[in-house]
Amino acid sequence: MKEHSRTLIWICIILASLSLAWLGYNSFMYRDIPNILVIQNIYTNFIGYGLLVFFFSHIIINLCGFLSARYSKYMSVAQNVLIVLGAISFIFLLLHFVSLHEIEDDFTNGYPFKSMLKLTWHSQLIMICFFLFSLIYFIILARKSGRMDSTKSISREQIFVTLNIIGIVCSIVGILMVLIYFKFQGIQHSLRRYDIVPYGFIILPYLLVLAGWGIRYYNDRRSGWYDEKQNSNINRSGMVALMVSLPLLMFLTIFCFLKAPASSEQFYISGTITVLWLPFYLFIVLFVFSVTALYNYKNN
Amino acid sequence: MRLGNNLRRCRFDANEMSQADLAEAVGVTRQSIHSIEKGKFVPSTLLALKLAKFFNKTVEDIFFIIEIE
Repeated sequence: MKEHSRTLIWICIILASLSLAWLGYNSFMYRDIPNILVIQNIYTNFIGYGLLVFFFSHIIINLCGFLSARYSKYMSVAQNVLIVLGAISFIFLLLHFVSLHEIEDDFTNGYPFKSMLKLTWHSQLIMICFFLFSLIYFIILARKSGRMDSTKSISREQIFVTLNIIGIVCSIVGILMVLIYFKFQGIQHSLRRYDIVPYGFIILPYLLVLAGWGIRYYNDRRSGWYDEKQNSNINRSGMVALMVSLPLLMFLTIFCFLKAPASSEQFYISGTITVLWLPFYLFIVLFVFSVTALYNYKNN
Repeated sequence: MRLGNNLRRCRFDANEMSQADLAEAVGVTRQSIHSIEKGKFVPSTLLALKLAKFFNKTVEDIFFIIEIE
């Protein structure tokens, strides 16, 4: 195992330990929620710094987990679990940040904030699970590092599988978010500018894994992005994604057109659907593509 | 008509080589070797030639056509 890979493993162990300790501190401070959110002092500022640490720890640990594929021949399942858990935890970190902000707003305006408080604790719990798992994973990896061999074929296989698993997770979360938005806000609701931002964050884990694949490809240009079977699987999945997504979007457009309110004897379409069709389409395509790619890869 | 192969036998003749090691040697993934052996995936001419060259055999020694009526 190369020296810089071992260094990366130790960086991840340190980051996971630091994040766990910081999560402990935040949990201790959250006992006084919502009062601590409106007080500005050194102790409450540390909560904010902690969120920054969690953000960067997620990115670094996920990237290292992904790059360690080559050295984790005997830990492929654990590696996939780490990356999927990392993607879920990253999304919950963003929800954690939003929930704290909402609690502060609701508390200041005298609104109830119980559900947001629940979300804060749940996201805290998921982050603890992720950092604990990554700590154990990297400790085992560090101990095994001396005995491990590296194979490009195993690594390329894991990258492909991991990318598609992350694609499935991200797209399910994205589709659910769009549907929940439609359910609670309605099709004609005007979209606020920051409503679109979370969709960018949801796709971020997938883009990170894709970036990791790019780095691996750059380091090992000779073997190419994927082998001929993966190439054939990707072609077939692309075709299926196109065949499924186009009729679905046509149906959705007709549905929205018929549901749109009449004005001056003319139909018009406005609000959420005019903007959210893009993330919806993107996540539908990503979901169908990832599922079929993974299915073809395993079965054909 | 479908493509049959003796890849598994060739691997075992070559010191019980693993699928991962063969994949590494010809520059594909282990899953590709597995699918070729199972007859689920038809390799390209290039890969078939690479495999034949690796085992020091002709392509016909490894791959053959199975007639299905």
